[in-house]
Amino acid sequence: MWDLNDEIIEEILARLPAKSLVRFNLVCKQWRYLISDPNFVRKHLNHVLVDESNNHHKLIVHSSPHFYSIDYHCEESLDSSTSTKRDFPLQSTNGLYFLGSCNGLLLLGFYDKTYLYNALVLWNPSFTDYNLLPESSFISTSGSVRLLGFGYDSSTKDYKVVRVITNSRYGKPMRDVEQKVEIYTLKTNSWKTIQGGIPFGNVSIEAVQGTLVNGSIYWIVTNADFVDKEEFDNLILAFDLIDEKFRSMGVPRYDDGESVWGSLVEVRGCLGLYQTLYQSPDVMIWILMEDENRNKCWTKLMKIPKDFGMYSRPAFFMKNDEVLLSIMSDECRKENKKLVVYNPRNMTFHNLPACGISDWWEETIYVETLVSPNGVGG
Amino acid sequence: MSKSPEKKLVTLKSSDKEEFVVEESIAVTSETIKNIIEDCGLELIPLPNVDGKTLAKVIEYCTKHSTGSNDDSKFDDECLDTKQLSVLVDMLLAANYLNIKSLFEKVCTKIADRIKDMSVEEVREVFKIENDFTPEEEKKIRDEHAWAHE
Repeated sequence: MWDLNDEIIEEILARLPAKSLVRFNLVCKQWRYLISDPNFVRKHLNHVLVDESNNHHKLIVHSSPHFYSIDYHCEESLDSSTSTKRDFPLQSTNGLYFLGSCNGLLLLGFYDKTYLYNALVLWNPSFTDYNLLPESSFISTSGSVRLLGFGYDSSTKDYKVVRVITNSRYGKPMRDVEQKVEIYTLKTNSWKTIQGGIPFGNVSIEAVQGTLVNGSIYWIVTNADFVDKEEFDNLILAFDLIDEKFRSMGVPRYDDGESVWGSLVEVRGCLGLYQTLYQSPDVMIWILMEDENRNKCWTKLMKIPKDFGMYSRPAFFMKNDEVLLSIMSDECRKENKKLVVYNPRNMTFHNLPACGISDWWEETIYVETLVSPNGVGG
Repeated sequence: MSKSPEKKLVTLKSSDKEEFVVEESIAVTSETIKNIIEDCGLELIPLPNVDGKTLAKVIEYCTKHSTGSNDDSKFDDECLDTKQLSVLVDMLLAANYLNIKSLFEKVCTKIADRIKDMSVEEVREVFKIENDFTPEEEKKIRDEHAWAHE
């Protein structure tokens, strides 16, 4: 007989992957009680976040109306991937898109082309419960969502969604554009309006959804404020989840000073930019890094050849420098997309085993945790 | 001639009366032993909660750990590489009692690794836990989390 007290059992359980813990809810009532305790969920999350192995990272694929979670392993000759279907309880005839991923929570949006992502929902694929966010009153008048981001505020230990809505329309003079910035916090389960929005009147966005990197959310935009005759230039908007302010930052530049355009992506804890140029046979990945004087500057990280055809932005930059991405599959296969891993050192791609998913629409990376989308506890 | 503190030796006595002579500087990796020496100044320290077999392994760990060699993690894997879960649990309880944080955490991780793919029934057997769910409750919970049981 082992005299393992609750504290010791808790220490062992906190080091298990979320999937094991979800299963072990069934061991006995005491374990179920322990595993669902918000303090334990937080403790487990902390272990997941400091784990450098990437074992908790999974890919979630939307293949309407189903979702699949893919567990991939890329260890030399031991490639494997298994996919499990996850039940997402809401159905919609509108498109449903991934808008954010943080600590195991996914933010999804129902796309209504009038208002763009009017309905937002938080979901942890480990469970079937979800949190449909309250609606915004501003949208129902004449606005549309221009920028949207999801992340975690470490100072208040709360999850936040930031949304910038404007009532801009084609032909509407810029000076008449109203802008509203709203922040949703999970603990209050409500939206609040804040002062101070995007520091420019007229921006052309690359994508509505922002990229979360270390407590800030980033969007790449073009400042086209002809009214003030400012330069037509690309820049990055950054929203700090703690002080809730927007700031602007530079994009990478060529030697001649021209600014680069691309999509933003997270690269191992740093902000990255993924640049596709028609004329170029490669995709260039830039990364924003700090030098020894704590100055941030953009540097080229790697090139990824486009020979494998069109593909969406890289899903995940792994700890061993390899890149996980999805590409279009061969015509004759049932699966329309497949997963590959790119190795930048020897510049090769290798396929992961087929996941058996047809009608693969989009994917995003997430970490598997027990965090509740309804914000119970921590 | 009194020895310098680094070379001072203490004797650790296990529950089954085995005695181990170790350098004090290594023994105090254990916070528990450190406190006993500081409070009582003992040179022969009884450890009634740890058997000889386990104590030998713990001392091995502390010895390798205190030299700060780069082979640390490789050795840790060897010393914890046992086929028997019960041996790991004994190490865990010893590390807990002796308050050796790094060993405790490593063994926790090892045990977690061993049980993570187990079925619910296997876990109950390993930890000697009774199933206190009714069949209806069990079915309901299992259906809710079907993906984790695949």
